Amino acid sequence: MAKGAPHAENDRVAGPAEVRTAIEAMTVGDFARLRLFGRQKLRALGDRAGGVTEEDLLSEAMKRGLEGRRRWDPSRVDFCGFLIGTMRSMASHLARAEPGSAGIPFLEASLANDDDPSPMDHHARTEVTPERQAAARDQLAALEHYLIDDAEATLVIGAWKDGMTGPEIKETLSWTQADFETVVRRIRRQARSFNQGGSNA
Amino acid sequence: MPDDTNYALNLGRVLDGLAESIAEAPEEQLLEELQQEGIDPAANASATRALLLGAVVKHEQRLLNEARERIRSRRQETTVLTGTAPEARRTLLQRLFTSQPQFAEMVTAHYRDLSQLTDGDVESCLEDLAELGVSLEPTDKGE
Repeated sequence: MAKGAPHAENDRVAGPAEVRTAIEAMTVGDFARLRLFGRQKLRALGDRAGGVTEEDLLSEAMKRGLEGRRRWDPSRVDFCGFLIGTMRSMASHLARAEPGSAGIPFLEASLANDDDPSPMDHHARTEVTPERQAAARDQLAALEHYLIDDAEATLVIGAWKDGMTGPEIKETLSWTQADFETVVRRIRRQARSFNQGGSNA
Repeated sequence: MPDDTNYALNLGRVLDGLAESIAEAPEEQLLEELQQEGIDPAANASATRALLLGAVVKHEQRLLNEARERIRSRRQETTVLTGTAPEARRTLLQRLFTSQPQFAEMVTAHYRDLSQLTDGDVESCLEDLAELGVSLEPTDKGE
């Protein structure tokens, strides 16, 4: 799945009929991807999500696409990829929100700088209370404990902590997408156990 | 340099890395993971499809409401024209050009010389201005 590409000046706005056709063509897997991606982005935001749900993210992504505030070019990315890219952008905005900003109202007001390669950097540099640091330390320790015997997973987690992206990790380690997928799947499986009990708050 | 003691930053990056991996993961893995989250994939597909299509319908309703408003506004302008005598229309156009000269710039040179215009020209010019969004309602009836 391609990331949402930066839009060109002459990109057209897809009309409601075209969007409806694209939705009808989406697979059960596409809907699973949207749900899990939105949910995981919000987990990464923790209390910065401000009560926003994955349904809120999706609804807002749709609104932006239909109103032309985010342009979907079907020749570059499918509709699922477009929604993923738009949710990514919104999560990035939420990560930059001032403490106390309400989720969706903030999203509505914020339209600048759609692409932020490392939204978490801002997220964790503002209002990091000792309690939040302690909770994060415990969650990280739990995840790393689960994966202590998995050298590849430990490598990936370490690289993420250093701010590396998936493509950068693959390139550095000369891994194929399948190699990376296999390792990351193991991390997701372990992370799920504490995701279901809490978030990055 | 990475900061090993900024746990919140590091956890945020790890969880965000997991989110990004979902964007690229094979569908069959995601279906399995969705079930592990306690969500039935078919039910999720149905609910999410309904949410997305609902947004389309909402947008279409808004477009219709806006179009309805435009049509209503245009009909009001037309009512002003059809309910007005030719001389009154000429006076209205003259008043518009005098009080707000920028409107004169919105029409062709031919239309700016009112003495040369037929009643039909005046009506046509007023219709053009209405089409451009200029209000034809007299703002000062005492003039």
